[in-house]
Amino acid sequence: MTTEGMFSRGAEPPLPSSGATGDPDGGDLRARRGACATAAAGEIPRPARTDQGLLGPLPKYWAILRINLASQTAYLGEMVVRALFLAIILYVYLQLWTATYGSMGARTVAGFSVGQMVWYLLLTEAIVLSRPRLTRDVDQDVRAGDIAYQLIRPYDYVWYRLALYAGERLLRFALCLGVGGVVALALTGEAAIAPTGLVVGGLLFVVGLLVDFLGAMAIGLCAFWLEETQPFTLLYDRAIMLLGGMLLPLELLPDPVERALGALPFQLLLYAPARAAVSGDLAPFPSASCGLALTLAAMLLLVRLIYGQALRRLHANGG
Amino acid sequence: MRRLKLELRFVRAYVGANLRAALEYRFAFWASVLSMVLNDGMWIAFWTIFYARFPAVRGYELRDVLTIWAIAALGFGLSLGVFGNCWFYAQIVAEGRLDFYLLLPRPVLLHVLVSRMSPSAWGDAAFGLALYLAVARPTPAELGAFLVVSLAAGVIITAFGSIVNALAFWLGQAEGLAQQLQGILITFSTYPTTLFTGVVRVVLFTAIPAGFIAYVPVRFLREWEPWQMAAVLGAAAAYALAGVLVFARGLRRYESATWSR
Repeated sequence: MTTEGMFSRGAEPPLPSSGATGDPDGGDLRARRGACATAAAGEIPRPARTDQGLLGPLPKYWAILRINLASQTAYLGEMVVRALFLAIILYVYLQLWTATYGSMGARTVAGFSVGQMVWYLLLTEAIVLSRPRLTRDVDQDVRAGDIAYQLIRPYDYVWYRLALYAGERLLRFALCLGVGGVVALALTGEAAIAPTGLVVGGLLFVVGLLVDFLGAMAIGLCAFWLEETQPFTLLYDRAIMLLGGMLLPLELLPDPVERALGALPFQLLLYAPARAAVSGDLAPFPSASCGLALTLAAMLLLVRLIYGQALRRLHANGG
Repeated sequence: MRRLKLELRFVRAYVGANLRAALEYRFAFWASVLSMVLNDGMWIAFWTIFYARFPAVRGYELRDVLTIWAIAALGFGLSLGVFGNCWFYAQIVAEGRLDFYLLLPRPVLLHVLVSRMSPSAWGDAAFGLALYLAVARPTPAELGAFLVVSLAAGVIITAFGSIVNALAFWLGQAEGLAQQLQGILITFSTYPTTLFTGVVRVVLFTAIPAGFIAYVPVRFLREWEPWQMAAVLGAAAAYALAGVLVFARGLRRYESATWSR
């Protein structure tokens, strides 16, 4: 192991004299600088809550989200270039599906016209392309020791990361949707979107965003134990893409595969919102929202468990 | 000839050192390789499902698309496994970190390109070879031809990566643009070229040389026309030359940032 930062991963418990951030209970570490300054000698500074308003801690995370959203606009050009890549992908898909439908002599396949297929693929691609590289950032925080600096600030690290993630992702998604929508409209000559389906799809997308965030967070936090988390990130990304229905709506898959993928949570992140928006079919909404709620609860529990265990492994050297 | 042998020895030594360094993190290395194999497998699963449901697309059957994937995967694998920096060096130029290479007695471009290896690339290379063996069950001659066109594809990919990263000499920050252009090359290299017509088709045989990765090699392996092999080899030589010339031209504009760690 060649980690050379001031903070390194280790099996030893955090030492009170290290001047850093270990919570012997392994719990939340919302320590306020003021609290640190007034702590008695040898006493571990206790986290001071700063979230006593009516809305609890929401305003400060909302502020973090807004600040990140604003700072991301500094890289708007880069984001637009990324979104243009989506235009290329859509063009390729249109050529593929136009040729395929043409060779079959069919106007619809599994209920999808060519236009609906392109709009479905636009939505799934926009969801995938808007995903920030969260695991890399968390991995870096752990490996370089920056997480220790985050822990002494008056916020929860996980929610702090969520606020950053949401700010970046929503902007990217809006850009992808904007650029991709214009391109899809130009290529297909129609907006194959159902208004009510769009609202339902939007709701599913937002909850799916939270589930995806927690999945990526869980992998990133594994940097406390693993020498490299990127291979797992790649596997997770590919699972979402392949099992989530990014390339094909589940209806086009063989029946056993469709049933198997329908039982997995990945399709709730891509297929469910995209299909709802394109088809306007609201019948699957109750089961999809229940599935998402259950997955969200399970992932929340998992992340809290990993985070708690991870903090016990945090070993601070110096300051 | 003596110079060529010297440079080949240099490349071999560097690749060996890169490989040993990557294997220091044995788990990470094999996990990267495996994850890339799974990544490629995902696309093969997509195409297999696609062709189980739909007929041939503009003359391309499943076997042809899998051959495209085999050539592209082996080509990308060899390119990023040996010359891993061809995909990433725009940042080095932008930050003025070429000084390190300029001070050493080796060809600058060659040294820049070999000084990085992408471990997951070996997953690509292994997947491409295994896929072709499984799909084509080739004779020794067919296998030899496949290796030659894949090698040529690797040269084209390396040269293209080098050219788009060299844009940093003129644009400064060109990392994002280079990544997008590389993404476009990958995208077009893994779909049947017959899907595209008109101006796009012309672009795929010039600015974005995906046609020489996905179209001509597959036709050669199917039809065995000598001109097809000549076209692939000629394109590889032309792009390699263009890569060297563009880098040399860009290097004249390079200004050191007296960068230090």
